[in-house]
Amino acid sequence: MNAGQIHGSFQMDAQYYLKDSLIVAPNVPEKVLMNAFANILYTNGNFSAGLRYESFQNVMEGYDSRNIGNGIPYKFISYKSDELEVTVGNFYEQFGNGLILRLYQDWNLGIDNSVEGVKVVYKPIKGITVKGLIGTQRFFFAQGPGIVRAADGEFYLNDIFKSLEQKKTKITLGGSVVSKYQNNTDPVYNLPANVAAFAGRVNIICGKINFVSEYAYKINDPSALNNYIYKPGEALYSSATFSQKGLGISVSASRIDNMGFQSDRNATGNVLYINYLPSLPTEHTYALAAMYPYATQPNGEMSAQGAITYNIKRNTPLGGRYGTDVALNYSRVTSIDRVAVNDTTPIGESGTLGYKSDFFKFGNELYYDDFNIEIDHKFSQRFKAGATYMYQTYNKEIIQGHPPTIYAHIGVLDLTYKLKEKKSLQLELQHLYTKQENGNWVMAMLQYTIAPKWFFALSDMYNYGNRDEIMQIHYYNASLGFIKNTNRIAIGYGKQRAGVFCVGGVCRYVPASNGVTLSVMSSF
Amino acid sequence: MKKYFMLFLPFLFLVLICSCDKIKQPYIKTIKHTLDTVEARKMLLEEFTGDQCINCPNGSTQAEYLKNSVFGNSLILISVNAGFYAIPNSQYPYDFRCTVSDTLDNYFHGNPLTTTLGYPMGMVNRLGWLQSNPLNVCLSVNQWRDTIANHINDVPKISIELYNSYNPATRVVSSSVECDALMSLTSTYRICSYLTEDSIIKPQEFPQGVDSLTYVHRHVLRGALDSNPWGVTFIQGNTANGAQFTKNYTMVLDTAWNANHCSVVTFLYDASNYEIIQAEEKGISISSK
Repeated sequence: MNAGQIHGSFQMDAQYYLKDSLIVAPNVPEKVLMNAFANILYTNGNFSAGLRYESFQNVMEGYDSRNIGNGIPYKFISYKSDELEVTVGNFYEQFGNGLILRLYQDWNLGIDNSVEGVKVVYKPIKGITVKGLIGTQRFFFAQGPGIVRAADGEFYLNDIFKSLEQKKTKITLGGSVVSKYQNNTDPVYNLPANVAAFAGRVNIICGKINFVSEYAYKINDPSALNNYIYKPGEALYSSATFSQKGLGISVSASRIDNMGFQSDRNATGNVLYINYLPSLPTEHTYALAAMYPYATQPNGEMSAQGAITYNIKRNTPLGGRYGTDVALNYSRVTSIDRVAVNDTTPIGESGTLGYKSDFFKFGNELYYDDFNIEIDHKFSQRFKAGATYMYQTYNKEIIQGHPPTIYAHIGVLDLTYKLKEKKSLQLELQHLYTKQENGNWVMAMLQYTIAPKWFFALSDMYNYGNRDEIMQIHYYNASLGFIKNTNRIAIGYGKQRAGVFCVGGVCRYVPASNGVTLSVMSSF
Repeated sequence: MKKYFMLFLPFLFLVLICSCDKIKQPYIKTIKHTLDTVEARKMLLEEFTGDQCINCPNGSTQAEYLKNSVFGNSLILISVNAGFYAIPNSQYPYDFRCTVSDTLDNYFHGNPLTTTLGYPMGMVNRLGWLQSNPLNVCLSVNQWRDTIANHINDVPKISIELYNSYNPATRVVSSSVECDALMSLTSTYRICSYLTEDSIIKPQEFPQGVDSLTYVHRHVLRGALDSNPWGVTFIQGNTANGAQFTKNYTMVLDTAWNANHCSVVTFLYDASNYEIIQAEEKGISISSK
């Protein structure tokens, strides 16, 4: 045995907050807030061990204020042989698409639902993987009250059956069971102490076509999230993609019905989730396009999405000298069908089955839709441009809990000009048109990059269409960053509007702020 | 060996599949008082609300659900219309507020000009009051149920019986209160009698800017029978188990109020911490609820 290797990463985000009553920025008595972590990983042959130290001094605005102080919420020891892998301590895991189990961490969202306990992964023969785990979930710097028990089996048929080994079609089947235990001390309801969820999945790859589907079922799980109804939960996610040179097509659909699954039935906020419910709408990166992001509704949604990407060949009238990329996408999310269980019980009433629902029927309420088309064209070795148009319907009452529904047209022009070999200038022009809420916005961003070390950016987001003239505010920002090897330092100054930040349909609220930000990242 | 180990997989699934409890109806536990009904503790939920508060209908629905489906007559409801969302305007001209509701809102829910908690919020027997933070009594909707359930079987210190009468000609309400100490008492207790009016049909704002012009406002606080939001001292000093106390009130009903929908809610609270130790409700006329 040698001395092994140590790797790690570090990130610190801090902000100095200035008072700004106009944008309703919260008052921060500490003036400076900071979130930081350091990951340390030691590996030696089949053995590995690691930990993550986290520090919140105090936790930054927009993150859950239950993150208090310092600690080591993540630590593990693992041993892996050819067939068996054993981990004790904290670990992450995902079964299939995550419909009944996804343990993951997202620092920017402030989410970490790792389990502390024991995990075993066993591969008895080629093509079969069996996983089992048991433990409790992280709850800030403590553990949640529920115990999670889970098992998963995945079977790659082409490896298991010799007759399929050379076949073009590749088939993977999987099945999983997750059960949580939480003592029932509720004074009013007869609650299940043990709640189990089951899922089955298939993945078929045939040439250019890839098909994925998973169905999940959860028995009665009354919780604060579903208003203590006893209806079983269901979820179905299916996706098919076709890809060949120059053309990609994808269609996907999902149905979620009462499938929030947390290891504490009384939990509030994005904590102690055992599962993950995929979000189908496009996740936009441009600021105005991401102003109204969709958040998955675990209590029920019907969702569909289709996308086509096409490359117009070079040296054609539309493709020009370098070719043109066109991407077209549409997604739509509605409520699920809900009817009362009887004539006297309102839909969703606590202490009842809640409602009945036709599995394949769409509900009448539109939650979100998004049509977008993006065209990217390279005009010369130095100059390229992208243009995007989006139309979004955003049911804010459902997604954020208060009206109105917003209908927004958004246009983006993204121009990049290469000045010299390592220097480039990027100009982003964005406009959002809506008659609802705060009205129209316009944004411009200019970024100068000296690759690979430096970048400087100036931006202004202006709410010129606000009906209240006082609220026609400029949200200006200036930032610069320095990158060397695996270190990155960025400093910024400006105003941040209040909004919602989402990753994969999971969101957190970001309050308005005004101040100086500092971000340091490093890995070794 | 591997084949034997493969048995581990179905065993694991079997164990997990068995690890689930399917609950059959009834889903709600039967909450029984351990004491005779007359002497049982009744709980009072005072909900801060407003006709322009879009989330308040949801709070009222939950309060009604707790009364009708969970706690029955052991729970008494009062809607305290006050604060920012209850200020009349051209769209919502009706003024539900009264001196008592404004006083309670200012003290327990926060002065709307300085600190305000959200809506809807409610006080369950005014439990949780802190001298350093009177607003600590306010509970969000999802806290009401457990707080009530956790205290409804507390041994009551006092019993209250109400005898109301109403003269339609003069619109005078008379209310007689008889209380028995059910244990030895040492604290100071004050008595309050409030008048509520049920089922007032007036506009209410809902989410997405939708108005209901015929919304039924339930259990609306109209005022105190003695005009005093904080009542008067009723029991003081060492009091023996079985001691009896009486108090009489009269009040003239506003002509706009429907007597058939009016009730008297009387309660006693500990003067040192505002905790309501017993409450009772009774309609003022034969046809009232």
